[in-house]
Amino acid sequence: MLRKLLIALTLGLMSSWTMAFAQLEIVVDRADLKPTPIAIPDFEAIGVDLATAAEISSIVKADLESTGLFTVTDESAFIQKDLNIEVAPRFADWKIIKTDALVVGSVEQITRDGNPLLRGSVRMWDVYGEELMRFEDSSGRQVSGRRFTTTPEDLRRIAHKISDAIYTRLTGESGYFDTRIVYIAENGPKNERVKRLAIMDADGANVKYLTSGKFTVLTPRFSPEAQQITYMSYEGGMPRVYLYDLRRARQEVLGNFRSMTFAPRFSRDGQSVLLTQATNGNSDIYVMDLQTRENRRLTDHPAIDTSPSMSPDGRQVVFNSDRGGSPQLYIMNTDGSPRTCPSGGRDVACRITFGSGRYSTPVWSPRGDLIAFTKQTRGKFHIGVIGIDGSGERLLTESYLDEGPDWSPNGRVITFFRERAPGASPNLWSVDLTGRNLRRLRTPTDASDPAWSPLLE
Amino acid sequence: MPSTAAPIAEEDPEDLLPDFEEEKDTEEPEETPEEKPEPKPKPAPKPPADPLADFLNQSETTFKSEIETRKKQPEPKPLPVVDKPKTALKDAPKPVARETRRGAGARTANTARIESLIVSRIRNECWAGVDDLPYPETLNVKMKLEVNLNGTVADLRLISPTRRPLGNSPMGTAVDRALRAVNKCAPYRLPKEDYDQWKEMNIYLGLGFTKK
Repeated sequence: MLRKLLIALTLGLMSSWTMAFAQLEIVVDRADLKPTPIAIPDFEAIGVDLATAAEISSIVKADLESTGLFTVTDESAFIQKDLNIEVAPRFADWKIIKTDALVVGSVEQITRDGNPLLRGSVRMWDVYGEELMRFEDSSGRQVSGRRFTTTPEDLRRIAHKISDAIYTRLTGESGYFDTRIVYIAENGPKNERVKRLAIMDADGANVKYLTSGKFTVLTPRFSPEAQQITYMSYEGGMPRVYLYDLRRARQEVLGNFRSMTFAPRFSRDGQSVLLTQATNGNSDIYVMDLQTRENRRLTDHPAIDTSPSMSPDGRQVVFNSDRGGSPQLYIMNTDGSPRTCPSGGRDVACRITFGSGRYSTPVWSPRGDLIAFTKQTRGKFHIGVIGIDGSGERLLTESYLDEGPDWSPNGRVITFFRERAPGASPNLWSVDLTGRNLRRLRTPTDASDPAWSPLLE
Repeated sequence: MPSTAAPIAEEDPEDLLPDFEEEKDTEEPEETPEEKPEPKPKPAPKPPADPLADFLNQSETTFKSEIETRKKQPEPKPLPVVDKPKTALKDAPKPVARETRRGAGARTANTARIESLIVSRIRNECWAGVDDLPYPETLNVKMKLEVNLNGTVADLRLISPTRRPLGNSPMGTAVDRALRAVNKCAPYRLPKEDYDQWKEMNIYLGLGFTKK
């Protein structure tokens, strides 16, 4: 009996061993990044004209295509036409045209308290998985679709909100379509350049000018709530840092500095502004509390220290200094305490760039892991990124003049301005963090110094 | 106020949109009838008097017969060259296909070729990769796939992670893309005579699975 039991055990083991190893093992470690094919038929119009519904769906298509991560399937390829947001599609019809995701939406007019409103609704289907792709709403709940309501004048924002929801669902990262870009609009001859503060939607629509152009303005930056802009203006003859309140459409000088101030940037909590003050040819970095309007000096060095940018947690500041002989990037603790430097030793400010060339305009990424910068080397300018410990430098662009990077709120895209050749007009551009999808942002005038707002509420 | 916008209110779609009742199409798309593996004839049920003794007797007989069979088997012939044209798969001799069942260390050229066919299809046509996501080296997905004889997906399960993380996360996206890739690559057009080799497979997608 024991012998039989042993035989049975042996056979059982042999059989399971054979079965386990006979199974095919398919290992694919990487693939060429392919844009995800996505179908976005025109949204159904309920109580609104077809053009309104079509406009919203076309904005969604343009938003998603602009990322380089999606290809929108051509409408002429669609087999199923009778889509309804409340009915599952015929998946076979969408598999044939090789689309991965299908977006079905509707736009309707509703009335609330006697006021006409537009409501955009959207659902998304995983064509190959043959299931509804559930979204996460703003409170973190899993929902079967997204629905946004606003006034008819703001229909573009409904479209951007829908784009953000789709982007987030398909990439796992928050979107950046319902955002704005503030920049310097330029026109006129080079020796009499008029520079105005301008603001537009992230896709280039709704351009508005915030200043008249009477005084030159530079380096605008958004507050974290996207309701204020800090920038430098020559109003009054001397460069000073200003605050512009978007709700009240009013500006004010920031602080009572006796000498010129420039290169402002909000802290991540919006409670203070980092800026540079130049006194007797020496520039140092200060932080101003916006409540008390008191300054605190962050750097005290005979070299030029400028372009400060705070880490997302507010504990560190990256800035640009020529204290080592040429402009390089340095990191310091916001409280000024000594830190261990990546290159060894302890210091108040640690140098993180050692490559050949001159580094400037550092900006800490919203994710916190990278710093974007401008680099000038061998007669060319580049936009690049580097790890906060100085590792993994990557140059994303190259041109006659590329300068002034700023991050999209999800840390995925960098906007900057470019002059292609000596004397050429500056324009706004964007590039993906991977260096792909370099695109020009269309503006009605020449443009420079772009800064991205956070996602709007 | 030119520079501010009206607020966008988000409404609860769960309350406003009813959950779907999947509509049955009146006109089903034309589909080729699913081919199923030929059912094996079932032996006539004989209730054993002592099930355990009966099973052990049967095992011993099987074990002896397996030893006899192996003794009688000739030495395995050299396997066909791997770099044959793909069409050669269809003509692959059945005995060679059976050899692949032997398991570890006994992979045949056919197994390797089937493997490379599937890898190539997933990599080039179906999977978008995860290079664009944050920390891509951590986004590794392991799945178990069971395939019907006609190449359609019979069952697809996540092994690691065991389920898609809820909410928006890079790992959630990686899982979505992996599952979509496997479904998208179906039907798997592979040699039917080697069905035993590919009816079940483990699929690993991710940078962490890089072969050393």
